[in-house]
Amino acid sequence: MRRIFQKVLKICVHPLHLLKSACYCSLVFIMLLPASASAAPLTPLEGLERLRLALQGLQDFSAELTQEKQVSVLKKKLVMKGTVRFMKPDRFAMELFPPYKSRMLLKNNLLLQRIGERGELQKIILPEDQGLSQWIGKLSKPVSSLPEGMEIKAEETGRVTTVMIRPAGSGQMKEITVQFQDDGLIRRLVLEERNGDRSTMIFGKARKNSGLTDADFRME
Amino acid sequence: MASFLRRFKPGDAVNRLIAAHLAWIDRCTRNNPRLVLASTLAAVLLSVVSVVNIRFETDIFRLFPADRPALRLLLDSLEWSGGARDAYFLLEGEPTQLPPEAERFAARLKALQVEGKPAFKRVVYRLYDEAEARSFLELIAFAAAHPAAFVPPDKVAELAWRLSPAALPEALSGLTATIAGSVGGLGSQMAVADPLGLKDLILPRLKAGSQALDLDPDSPYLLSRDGRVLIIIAEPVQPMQNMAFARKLVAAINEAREGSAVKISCAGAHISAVIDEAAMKKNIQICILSALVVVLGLFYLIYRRLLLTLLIPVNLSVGVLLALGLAGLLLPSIHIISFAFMALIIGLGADYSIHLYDRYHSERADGLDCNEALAVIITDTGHGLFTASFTTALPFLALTISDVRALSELGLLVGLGVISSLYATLFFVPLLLRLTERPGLVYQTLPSFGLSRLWLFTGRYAQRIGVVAVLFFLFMGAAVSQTSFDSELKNLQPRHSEAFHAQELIEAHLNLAPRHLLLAVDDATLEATLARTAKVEAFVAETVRTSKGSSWSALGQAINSKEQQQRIITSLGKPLSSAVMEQQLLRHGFSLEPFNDYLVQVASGSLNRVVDDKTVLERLSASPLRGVVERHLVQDEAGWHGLTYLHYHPDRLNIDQFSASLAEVDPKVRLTGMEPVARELLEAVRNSFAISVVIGGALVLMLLLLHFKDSIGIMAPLGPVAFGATAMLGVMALLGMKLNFMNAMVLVTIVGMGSDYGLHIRHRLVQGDPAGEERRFVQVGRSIMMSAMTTIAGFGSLAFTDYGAMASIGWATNFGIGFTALAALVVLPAALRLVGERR
Repeated sequence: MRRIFQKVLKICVHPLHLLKSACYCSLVFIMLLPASASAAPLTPLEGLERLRLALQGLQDFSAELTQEKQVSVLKKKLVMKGTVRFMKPDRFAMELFPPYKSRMLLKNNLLLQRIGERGELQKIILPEDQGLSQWIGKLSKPVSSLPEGMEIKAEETGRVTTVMIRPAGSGQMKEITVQFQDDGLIRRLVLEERNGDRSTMIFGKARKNSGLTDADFRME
Repeated sequence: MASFLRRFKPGDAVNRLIAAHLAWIDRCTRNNPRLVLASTLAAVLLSVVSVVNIRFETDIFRLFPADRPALRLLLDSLEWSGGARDAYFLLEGEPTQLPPEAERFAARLKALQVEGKPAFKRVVYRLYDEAEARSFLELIAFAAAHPAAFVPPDKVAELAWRLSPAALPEALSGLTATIAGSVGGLGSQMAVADPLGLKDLILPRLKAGSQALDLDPDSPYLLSRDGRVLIIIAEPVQPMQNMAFARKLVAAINEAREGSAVKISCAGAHISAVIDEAAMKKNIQICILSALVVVLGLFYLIYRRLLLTLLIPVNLSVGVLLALGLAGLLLPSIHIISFAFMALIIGLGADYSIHLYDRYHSERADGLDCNEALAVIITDTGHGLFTASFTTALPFLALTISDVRALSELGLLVGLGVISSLYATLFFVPLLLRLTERPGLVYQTLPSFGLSRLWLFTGRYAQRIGVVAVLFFLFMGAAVSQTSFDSELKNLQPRHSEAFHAQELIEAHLNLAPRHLLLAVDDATLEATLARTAKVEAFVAETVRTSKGSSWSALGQAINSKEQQQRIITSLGKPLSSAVMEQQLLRHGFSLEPFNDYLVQVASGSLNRVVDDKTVLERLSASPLRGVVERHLVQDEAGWHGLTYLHYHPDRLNIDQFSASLAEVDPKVRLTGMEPVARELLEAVRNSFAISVVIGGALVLMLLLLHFKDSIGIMAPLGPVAFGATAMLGVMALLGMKLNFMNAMVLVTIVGMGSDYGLHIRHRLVQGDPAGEERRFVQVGRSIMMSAMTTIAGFGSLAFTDYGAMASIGWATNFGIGFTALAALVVLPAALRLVGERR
């Protein structure tokens, strides 16, 4: 688990280009899928382990997405809506609606993305060790220790568990915060970068194990 | 010439000298056997010391003349590209298996250690290294601010649109969508670096220009388009010419690739030699050993002398050791391929022993005692052997002046080997024979193997044999016209070697075209190099345009020259102003501050500015796309080298015409490729061959004249040679076998060795009374038959080796020696009858 987090953070800190970043987003998202809640503050290890356990009973997941993005290059906050889907072992899709229309599909390590209505379909094959199935496989192992140098806080408020991860080093990603309910469904994900850029993703109408198929992960 | 020699009788003087020399050898072996043994032992010990100090080389490139232009450029390019120093790992398997196996194997290579230190400086297996994201963004930022230097000239219209105020809203909307769809800061960073989205026009060109192989553009790995082959490149920490390091590295590599789920081949100009070294040595050892077993087996089968048979290898070893010891004194190193020719010495050394022993046995069976028989074989048969060995050795020794190291080494080793084998035989065999003599030992008449009947047959049907021989000769002569030359160097390598396999894989899966030419412009300054290279590029582009070439690659294809930039800027017209950009950025909700650098550059006119070559090259070199520069521009101690690649199909491009036209564009441009290199080698081999034939032939002729003193004496050895060589080439042509750089030299071997057969027959037939001709023919014929068989066993056994070069030599030798022996045993006796020759 420690290595997984280190990897995720390293990736977030040193992304090569836009499309790859989209892939990493999906990884973070998957890690933060359904989890159970408790009534007391959690140790970092408990927080991470709970994320892992939540994933075990999950076959697929879908939700509506509302994303707020505050980036340094834009004066105004971008607010966009869309959907996300995930299916084990290696499918993830995200679609944003106009005016910021874009579609992204990750099939293990094959990443497809189209920006806008008429944008060219971009295809990138990620290195094997960054494929989705690899991550899912790694997340199947129990968390026994925390990643070195990484600051993790976990707390429980009512039915909601919040895990905040602050990576070591001076990479670009400053903090990742996730909130999920005790019914195992994710509510909120916040990514904060050192330059002040901040993305908040709120998931609504979330459904798990609804029987998604390959047909739900197409990119025409 | 013959009458001159007869009149002045130099032949008599030389023959008397040789006879005296042989008589001295006879006296030495008779009166001072211990001194002979002690001297031989001392010579052997000195040879061993010399041999131990010989450096055996495996570097294939050292076999060729590096002063030839195409070969020189090929070697230079290997240095420049790292091809000479790097190790290339080719993984082949199912497309789904390759990436994970590449990850695993690359990790092992990175962890590989030799003598407690990392074995490789770098291991490259992906196109992108995430650590270089920053420098990649910096390049994009520079290119987006100076598009005239990077955008292809045929995309000027598209560039002009993107730089127009009307296109800005669309570009900025797209930029917003990109930022919205991205996670993390890269979307913002890319937007700041390239707000107008010009990278779409720039990157495909740069990416294509950095690749030397036909790779899958979608894969992050160095993967072939069909997904079947993946390359990993690793640079060893020490040069592979350091054999101690290279051997340890190869052992570590072999360990690292154990247990892989896919097949991993390793190649590289030098590392292949090390990897194949063990296989080559084993191949050669098996060849020499099998030759020895067959030669000794034949010897025992005919003469039934076990002790003598077992002691002959000592004689052969002495000959080989003396030859190597002498070569070690004369050469700083010996290539492993040259060493393979020692198999020939075994065959020849056995020949001399056979000639001596067969004659000895026959004389003993005829009633001479041991000393008398030994005197006869040393002074009479020995004389024939003396002339025969020098007619063999001299053409080979003439090769030593060749500038092709493969040939000069071969010539020296074989030439020395032949002479040392002769002396080892002349000194050693009499000692062995005396050692094995026992009172009461009976020498039975040896079997004639049908030679008696053959003698009668050739006398009875001399005319018909002559006619058939002439017709056969003419037929084979006609077939010779169909002989073709295989200039493909790859085919000389071991067929099951990793190097051979790697080349096949690259050709099948990764080559951009069947062939390519490399054109190099060398100059002292960057400006001059680029200016001249631009002209060469234009010429090459025209060649491709007229369909003579399939594609080309040069610096000018990835970036624009100053002239091109100027033309693009002129086409663009009025530059986009920073004020308009600022206005549009604000309108689309962007902050101006992050774009400040870009806006400042635009305000200073960067979009319409010509950038100097040096700046562009520095920017590229500092980015992950540095391959564009490294592949096309090199600076070394000699200066700058601009490289242009032309990919072509051999059927479409006439290299001669292309070279001639290229010389008109730039007379100093250098050119290389497999075809030019093969041509140079062919020319070098042809020259060496001509030198060898002329010098060696003249020396052989002189020796034969001195020995026989008449024209028939010259024709008798050379006739079978001409017949054998023609038949060899004819049969090879009919069987579809091609001549190559190595087996062409068998012709020299045939001239040298084949002439022995006719020489021995003539030498024996002119001796004694006519009534004993049949007996003498049977004796010498048996020796020749045995000699041919042992030579075929010794040298011809190479035909079954895995080494393409050696195998081709083996087959050529089998045909050449076989037909020469046939001509000497059948056609020559008939011909001698026809010309009515007796004494």
